[in-house]
Amino acid sequence: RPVVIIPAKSEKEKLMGKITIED
Amino acid sequence: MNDDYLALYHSLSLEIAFVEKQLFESCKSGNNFIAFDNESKSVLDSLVQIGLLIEKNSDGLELFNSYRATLEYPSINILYLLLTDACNLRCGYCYFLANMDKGYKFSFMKEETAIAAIDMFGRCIAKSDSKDQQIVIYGGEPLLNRQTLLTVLRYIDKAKEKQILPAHVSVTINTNGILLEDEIIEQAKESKAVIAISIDGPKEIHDKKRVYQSGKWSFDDVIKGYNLAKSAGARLGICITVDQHNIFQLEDVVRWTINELEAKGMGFNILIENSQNMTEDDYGKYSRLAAKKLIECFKIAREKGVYEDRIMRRVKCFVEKEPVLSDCGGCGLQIVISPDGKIGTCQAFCGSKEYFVSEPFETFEPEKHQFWKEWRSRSPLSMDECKNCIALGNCGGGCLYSAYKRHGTLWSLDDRFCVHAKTTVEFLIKDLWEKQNQ
Repeated sequence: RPVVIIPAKSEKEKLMGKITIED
Repeated sequence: MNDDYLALYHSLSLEIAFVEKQLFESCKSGNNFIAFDNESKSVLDSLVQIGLLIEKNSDGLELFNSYRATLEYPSINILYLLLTDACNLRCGYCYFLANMDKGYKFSFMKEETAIAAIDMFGRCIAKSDSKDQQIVIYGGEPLLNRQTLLTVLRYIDKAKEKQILPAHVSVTINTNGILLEDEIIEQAKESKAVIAISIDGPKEIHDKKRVYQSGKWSFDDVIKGYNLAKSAGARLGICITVDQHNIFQLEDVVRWTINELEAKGMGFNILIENSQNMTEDDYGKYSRLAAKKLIECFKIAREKGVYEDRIMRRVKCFVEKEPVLSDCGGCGLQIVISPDGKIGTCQAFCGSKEYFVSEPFETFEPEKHQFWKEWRSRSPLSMDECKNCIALGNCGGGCLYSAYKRHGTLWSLDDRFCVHAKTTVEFLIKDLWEKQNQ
């Protein structure tokens, strides 16, 4: 794996599961 | 995170990176980091770029100071109308009634008081840049003041038509649901108001804490009101207060709320200081267990696509990298109108009228008043004990009323909230790491 991983926003959005901000 | 990787997290910018431990340790020299080859230089450069490492000649406080500067200015975005301080229930954990002396006289807001308050709110928000403003119809139990409630909803609609209020102002009615009836529900629909009903779980759980003054259980009456509103197509939210009656089965309560009530949105309430006189030991146990349970419940809700407000506040700021400077509208962002027409910072103080003023609505400017200025400045960014906390930018400082009642000053920590905020940030970092590995 890479020596540094900076998660993209799209990766963080997975924390919300099926919830959207619009909810 | 594991034997090979560690997480670097900036508690205010909310930037995060997972870095190989071996490389990170190899670069470390005291408090400095020195690249030893092209690969390590590239890694350190990327960490400097997102602010997780700073150049030697920088103090790294620019961001902190820029956020601190915003705490000097109250900006009113929320109006609480306490239509009455009376309630038809006597819930065991109620903070609102707990702050009233014996012999306290309940009162009911007059229609003209509510209308004048809405006009004042319109003037306040005209000065704000925010496009997210809200009127909360609250109590006590606001449906006990039926006529003023209907007048308020109709007047808000009219005020939007006349551009006294912007069209985007949202309306929430917080109720125990018992007195919901057709005319109120239809008017709420007309006004696009969300009806937020307190239901702590199935009957055998709910009725342990939410009872009438006589001790009679309330669940059957509440669910009747809920079903009436639901079948009429009203917009509904569920409030769940976490206490000893439901904390051990909280995951089941969430599943029941989603499956049986078919709720689309819910919010957990962490206990506010009340008359239950928890021991220090119980206080600590409650804080830790509630923090864990809220996360477990969030995991259930997110799989169903159901929005849970308490954790999602933390998730949203983590995802968007936008710190929450105060978790509480009371922090210089709201005006609360008591039933007798006084103006305050926080509804929990309605009983004692601390932090309330008697001023004419027509000329009062809360943004310039010392109460609102002090409450605005009370943020984790202004508190020494918060500066090295992992949840600095994700917490917001919890409930000022709880801090005040527990420690005698607004400037103390809301200990229960600290545990919730820290536990949640740690969960988000670990969960993000796990999702990287899936």
